Amino acid sequence: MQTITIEPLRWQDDPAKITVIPNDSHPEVYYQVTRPQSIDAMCIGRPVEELPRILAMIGPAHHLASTLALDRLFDVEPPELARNMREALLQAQVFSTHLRKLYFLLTNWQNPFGDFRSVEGVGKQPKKSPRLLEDVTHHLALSQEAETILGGRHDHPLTSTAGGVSRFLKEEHFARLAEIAESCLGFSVKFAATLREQLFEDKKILSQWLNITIPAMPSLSLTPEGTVRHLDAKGNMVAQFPAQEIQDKIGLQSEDWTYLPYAYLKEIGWQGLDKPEGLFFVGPLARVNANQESTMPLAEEERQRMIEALGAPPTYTLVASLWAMAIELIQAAETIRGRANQESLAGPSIREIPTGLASSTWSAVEAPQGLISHRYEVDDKGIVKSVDIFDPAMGNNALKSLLAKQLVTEGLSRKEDPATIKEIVSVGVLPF
Amino acid sequence: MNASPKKTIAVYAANGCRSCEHAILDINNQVQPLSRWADIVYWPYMLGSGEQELGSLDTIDVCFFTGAIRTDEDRRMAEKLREKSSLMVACGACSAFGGMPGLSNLKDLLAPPAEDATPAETDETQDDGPVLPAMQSRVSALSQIVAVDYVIPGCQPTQSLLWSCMQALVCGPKSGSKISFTTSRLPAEAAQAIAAGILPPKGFCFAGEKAVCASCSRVKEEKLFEATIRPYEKYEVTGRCLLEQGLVCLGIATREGCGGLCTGLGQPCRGCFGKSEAVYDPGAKMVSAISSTFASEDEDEIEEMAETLEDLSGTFYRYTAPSQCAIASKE
Repeated sequence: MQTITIEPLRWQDDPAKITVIPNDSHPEVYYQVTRPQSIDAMCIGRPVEELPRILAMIGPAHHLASTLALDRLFDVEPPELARNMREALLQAQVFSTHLRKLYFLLTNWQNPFGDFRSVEGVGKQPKKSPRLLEDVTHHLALSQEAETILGGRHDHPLTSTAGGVSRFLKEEHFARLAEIAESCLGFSVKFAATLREQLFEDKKILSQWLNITIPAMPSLSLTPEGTVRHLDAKGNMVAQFPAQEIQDKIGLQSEDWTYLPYAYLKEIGWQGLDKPEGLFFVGPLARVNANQESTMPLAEEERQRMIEALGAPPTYTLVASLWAMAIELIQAAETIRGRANQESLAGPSIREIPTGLASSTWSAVEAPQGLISHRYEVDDKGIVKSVDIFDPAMGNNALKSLLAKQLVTEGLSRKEDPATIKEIVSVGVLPF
Repeated sequence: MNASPKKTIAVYAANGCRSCEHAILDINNQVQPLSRWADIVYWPYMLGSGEQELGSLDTIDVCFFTGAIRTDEDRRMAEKLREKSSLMVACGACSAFGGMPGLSNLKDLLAPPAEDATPAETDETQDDGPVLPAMQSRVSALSQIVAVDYVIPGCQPTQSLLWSCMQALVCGPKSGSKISFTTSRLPAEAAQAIAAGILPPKGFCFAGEKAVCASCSRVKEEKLFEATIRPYEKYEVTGRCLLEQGLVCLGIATREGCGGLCTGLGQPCRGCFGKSEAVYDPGAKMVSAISSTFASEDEDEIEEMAETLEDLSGTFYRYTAPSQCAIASKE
C-alpha cells in the first residue's frame, strides 16, 4: 500500500496533517504540525515590555503570562483592580476558547455556512436545534465583548502591562460586564445540562465519536497555590514542584517531520512516543482529572454530576474531556460575575511604575488550553536576550499524536476511508 | 431579494495565527450568515477542505488569503488559489505586509545566519516518509508572490472593515444592510462607490488613507519632548499625544482605519495597518517624526537621545518588514 496522507485536520490552532505509512498490521502514523513558528525571531532583540503584545499572537493567554513575567522582572505589584481585570480577562478567554470548540463540535457533521457541502462518511445526524446554536454564537460574541472591554481586543489583547493595566474602565463597562457575566452564567448552566442530557449521558447524537477513549497519561496542572502538580495516569501525585522550575523539568524534543516539538519530563527522558513514560498532557481534562474541588458552587455541582456519571477522576474519554470544558465554562462565568463590579475593577491607580530591572524572569498561567510558562533573560537595558516559551500545544503534542495513531489504526482496521478517519481524528483531538 | 447566483468564497491561512479566520467566522455568526450571499467552497480550517476539493473547483469568485508566506507549501497554495480566484484579497497584516512572522527577515538582515544554519529541510522527493513543507529563506507578503486585488489590513482586521470588504466584493449593491457604518473609516469616494455597487479600483486597501493620528482621540499640542519614554515607564495614559510625551508611537506613519484603537487604550501604535498612503517607508517617516518632535538642536543632546531609542527596526517594521522596509524588502 502507498503512503496515505490525511489533511487538513479541521479546527486545529496549529495546521496539522497525518501521514500513514502502511506497515502490514502495524501502520506508522505521524501527526504533523505543518506551520513553523519563529518565536525567537519575533522576540529576541525587542524591548522586553513589547513581549505581551508580540506573544499575544500565539494565543491571548500568552499576553497575560508575559505581563506576569514583566511584573517579576520589574519587581512591581499590580494594584488590586489590575489583578482583577487580568483574572476576569483570563476567565473570559477560557469561556470563549471552550465555547468556540464546543461550537465546532456541534457543527461537525455539516457545513456551518449552509447545506452546500456535506461531510462525507459521517452519515445522517439529527439536526440540532438552531436556537441552541444561536445561543452558542450569541454567548461567544458576548464573551468576546467582555475580552474586548478587559483586554482591548479579544484575539490579541494589549491592555495588560508591567505593573498593572494601561487604562481605567468606565461605569458603563462595569454595567455591561455584569450583564454579560449574568447572561453567560445562565447560558453555561443550561448549555451544560443540554450537553449532559443529549450528548454525554444519552449519547443520542454524535454517538459514534463520544465513545472515543483517550490514551491514559500523566498530567501537569497548576495548584491553587501556584505549584505544578505532576500526577500519574491513575491520578496519584508523583511530584509537586515550584512553577519557576517548569522549563528545568520539561524538555522539548524536535523531530524533522513536524514543526512542533514534543514536551517530555527531563527526569525520565525522551524515549519516543512508543514509550510514553516521560510524556504528559495539560488542559481542561488534566485540571479536572486532578480532582480538585471547584471554588465556584455551580461549577462544583456540575463537576459532581460528571463524577456521578463517569466515576471518580481520572477518566480518559472524549466525553470526559468535553465535560471538563463544560465545567470550566460555568466556572469562568461565575468568576467573571464575581469580579464584574465597580468595587473590584475601580481604584485610584491602574499600575505601579517600575523602578528596578532584574536580568531574568518567569511566569506560569493555567490558560484555557493548558499550562503556559514563560522565561526570559534581558540585558541591562531590558532588551530580550533569550526567550523560552512552554505552550499547551507542545504539552499536548504527544497526546494528540498518540490519539491520532489510535484513531487511525482503529479506522483502518474497520476499513474506513480517509475522509471518515479525518473527521474522527478532527473531533478526537478537538478538546486538546 | 438576491436573484443573482451566489458568489463562491475560499478562505486559506498560511503562516500566522487563526485570528483573521475567526474574524471571518464572527462576521458569519455576528453580522450576517454568509450563506445569504455566498457558498464557502474551500476553507481548510473550518471545513477540512483538502486539495482534492480545491482541484475540483473551476473558479472561485473571492479568495480571502490570511497569513504570510513562510514555507514552500504557503507559496504553492498562494499560486494555486490565485490561479483559480477572480479576486484575491490579502486579509490581515501577515498576508498584507508579512506581519510579525516577517520579523525573521530583520533578524537575518541584522545578523546573517551562520553558514550551517539552513532552513528546516525535508526530503520532498521521498515517496513513503512523512513530508514537511520546507521553509523559504525569507518571509514574504502575499503581494510579493502573486498579484493581490485588495487588502484588508490589521492584526486582526476590524470587524467593520472586514464586513465592508465583504459587502463590496461578495454582497454587492443588493446587500440588505446599509453600508454606512462599515464605511465610516473608508475614503468618501470609495464608500460611495461601494454603496453604488461599483468595485473599488484594484489594489484598494479597505481602510483610511491618512495616518492614525487623524482619528486618534489624543490631544496634539505640537509640543516637543525632552526625553524618550518606554511603555513601562510613567506617562499620561489619557489625554496627551503619546509621541509628544516621548513614546515611540507609529500612529503618524500608519494608515488609519482602526480609529486609534491602541492609543485610545493607553498603548502606542505599532503599525498593524501598514504605512499610510503618503508614506514611502514607515521607518524613515518615524525617524523624521521623532527628530522633529525632539526639543533640542544641540548635537550632543540629540545623539544622547538617539541612543536611548531601542530596537528601532523591530518597532518601526513590527508588521511590515518583508514588504515596506525599503532595505529589507529587496530580494
